[in-house]
Amino acid sequence: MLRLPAWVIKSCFISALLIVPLFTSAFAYTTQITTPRVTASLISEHDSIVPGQPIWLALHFDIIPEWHTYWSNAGDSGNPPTIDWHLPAGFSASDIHWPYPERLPVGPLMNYGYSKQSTLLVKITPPDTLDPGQTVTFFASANWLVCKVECIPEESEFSLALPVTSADQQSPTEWASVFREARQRLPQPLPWTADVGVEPEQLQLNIDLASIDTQQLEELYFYPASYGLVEHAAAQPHRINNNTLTLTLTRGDLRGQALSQLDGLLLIRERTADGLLTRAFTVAAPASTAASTTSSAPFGLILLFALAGGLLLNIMPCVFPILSLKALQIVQTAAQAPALVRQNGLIFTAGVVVSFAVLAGILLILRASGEAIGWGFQLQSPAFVLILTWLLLAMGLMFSGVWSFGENLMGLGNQLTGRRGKTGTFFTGVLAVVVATPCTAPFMGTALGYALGQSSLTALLIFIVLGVGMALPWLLISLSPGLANWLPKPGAWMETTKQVLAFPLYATCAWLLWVLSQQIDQASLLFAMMSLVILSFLLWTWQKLRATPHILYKSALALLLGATLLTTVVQLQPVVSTATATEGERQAFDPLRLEELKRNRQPVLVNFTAAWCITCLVNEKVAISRPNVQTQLREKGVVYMKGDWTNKDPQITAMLKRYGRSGVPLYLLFPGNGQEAMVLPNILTEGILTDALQQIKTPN
Amino acid sequence: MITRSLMKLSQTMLLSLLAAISLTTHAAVNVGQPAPDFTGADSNGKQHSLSQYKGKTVVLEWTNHDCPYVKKHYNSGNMQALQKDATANGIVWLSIISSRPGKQGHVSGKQANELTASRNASPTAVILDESSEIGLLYGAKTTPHMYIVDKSGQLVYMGGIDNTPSKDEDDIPKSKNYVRTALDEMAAGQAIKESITRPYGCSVKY
Repeated sequence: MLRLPAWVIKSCFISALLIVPLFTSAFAYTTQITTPRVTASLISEHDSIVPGQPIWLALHFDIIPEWHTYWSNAGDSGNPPTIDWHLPAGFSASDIHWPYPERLPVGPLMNYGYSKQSTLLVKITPPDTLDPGQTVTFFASANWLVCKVECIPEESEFSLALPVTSADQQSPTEWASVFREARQRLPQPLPWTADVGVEPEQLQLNIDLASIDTQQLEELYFYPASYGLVEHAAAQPHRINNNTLTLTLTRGDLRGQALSQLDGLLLIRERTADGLLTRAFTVAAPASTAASTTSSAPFGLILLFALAGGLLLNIMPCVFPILSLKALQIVQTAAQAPALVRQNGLIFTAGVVVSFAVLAGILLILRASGEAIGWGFQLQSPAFVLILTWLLLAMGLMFSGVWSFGENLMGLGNQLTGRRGKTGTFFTGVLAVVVATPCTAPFMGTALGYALGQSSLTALLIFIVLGVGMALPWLLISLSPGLANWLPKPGAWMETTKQVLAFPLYATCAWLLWVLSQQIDQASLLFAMMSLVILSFLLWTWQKLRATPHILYKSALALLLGATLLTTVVQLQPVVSTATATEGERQAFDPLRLEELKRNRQPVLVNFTAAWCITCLVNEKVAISRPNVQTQLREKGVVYMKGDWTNKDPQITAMLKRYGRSGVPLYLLFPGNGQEAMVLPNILTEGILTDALQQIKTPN
Repeated sequence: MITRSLMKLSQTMLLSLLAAISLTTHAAVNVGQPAPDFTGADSNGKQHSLSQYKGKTVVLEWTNHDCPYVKKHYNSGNMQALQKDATANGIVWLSIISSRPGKQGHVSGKQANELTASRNASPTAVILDESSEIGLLYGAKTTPHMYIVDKSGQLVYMGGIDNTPSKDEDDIPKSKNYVRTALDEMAAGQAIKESITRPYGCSVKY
């Protein structure tokens, strides 16, 4: 690309300013200056002034291709034009009436402005007493910034001389059509009631539309009136519910401050029989007095989702063995001490709920201190993954009968009467939650994303409901009367079941090692695997020495175990990032690249995933990688981007947050026509994907 | 239950581990919260990280020498004066260039040093952020875009250099310099009254 040196541009600019506005006669309805980028004119709608009757003037820009000027809120950069009026005594000028702007993305930033043309309307009110025949001259000095990627500030003085006449002698000038067009682009007062739900990170702009045909909706966008209200570049997902349109806006720099009213402009573009119909409305939405009233319906639903998500956790592969153990326990207890079953049910529930609350607390504290983390953040730490592997291996070995802890499952009933039995039950609950974290059930994604955008108390409540959901089946079973009658009798089958359950645990260990292999370097992986062997060996030795009453052996063993584990954790070295921009037909997620593709009107499918997210892996297997889907992606020219969140990645976290999520999976399909992304469901099927892809136009 | 001790052990380890996870990442910066740490190489190849300056006030200035708004504050000597006063008071001043290679304002270390010399500027260092990592981390939008981090590592100011979004040097004496005001308020032990303002200028050339 040819780039002119700064001094060339500057001197062009200065010479342009030296062009003296030309007057063709005593009266001029326009004065014009031309710079290399714009032609700016001060224009009048009418050819004369009638005393007391307002007249419309405008600063009109014709802008060369690819360059733009700005709206009253310029967005992330840039500046709106300013006009300083020097009017004869008795005259007054209104503020600029701004026609609705267009969005002008620059990389990851967003500006609001005008390309091609811009007409800034100003109403001038003359005094009642003016002599016909008199000439009135208006002077205005204007500043404006015109940008492509680079920006050039420009300025000029304008003047306009008009005669004073009576009303019947006044006629429109040749600029009247420009005024008409500009006026059509002025925002109208919003004919519907609107309010805004204020949340820490988001604003929910609710508008009671009388009716709108969502099928015909081409574009819906809220332009905030000023800086800091809304993150200009953030997506604005919307939903329509019972004639209420809700736009979810990401709060801008002033998110920490109270907001009593949201001002801006709402643009609605619909497809009609006569082509596109664009309407713009002025929005002045008061903050809804009780934020909870607007979100109460969704909040109830969210709680329901959380409960359902918790329930679903029970059938996830990683929790299944531990819960089976819980089931065996119930069978055993019901046979030996029926009265205890109820108590244990409550203690187990407490264990689950408290663990969820603690995890939520840690997450919220970390977020409050400014960390960009989401659900599943634990698994982004290789140390956590390794500890989880040890835990599951130790449990597996115990199930296989390699070692035990002084009692076995058969003797459980006696133990359960003691205080230690209660602690054990509580920690079965804790363990179930810990191993459940990798299996974020699909329902939980929405609930957790919502939770983290709320006040801490609300968020905590959602997490607690999640825990209640998970513990619910067990609680119900243990509370149901006559339990012992329909439960199978304890017996040797229990030992066999336990031994069988060891294998899903080993399988989980294998999977966690695979996750680790993507988080740490190869030497560390060897250390990690060796630590598993040492752990197994120590547990086996433990079993051999069990009969020895000598406390020394046990202490020495425990010490050795601790030392091994600690050394291994310290040894973990993160893997050197080998992110390649393009690997085959799939690209690594890069927000800048995504913006570029969107600008080039290329359809993009973005898959946010992590090695530790089972739902994600299943979706990739059963939907994304299916030949049908792959063929369709190729035919439609869809770029496939993959955002791997296995390790910490602030850019991905930011993107998830933008779409109201706190964790993976997230599937976005950008249709490539400048429209916002379709958010695909968390559980993908081949059908869902092909249906979504159908909507994308095949390149010609 | 059988595994209670093991669980207790792991639970303790787990919680302390979780609490100790220290992440160095951030989605959006907020005034009143810890400023996210970053590491970047300066024009002489020396590494600087925000955390190494804990205990000192740090000013971050996003810049692009070809941007007319940056020129306004350098041609007038406004920015240099602020840098001189700040660094004389023990404040660390990091000028950050986040322009990507080939984009306006992108410079080599040598060019950056020449600019510092020719403009008589006195930043503590000029950080070359050509991967835009620091810029995106802080959500820097314009040049200039100013941030102040206090001695405890909290972000205390973000926004514009002053309250007159123009490119006219003549406007500088009439303007309220937000950064100078904030630094004065900090020196006097007062709260910063205007801690978030609209940054104005050219877009950062990501």
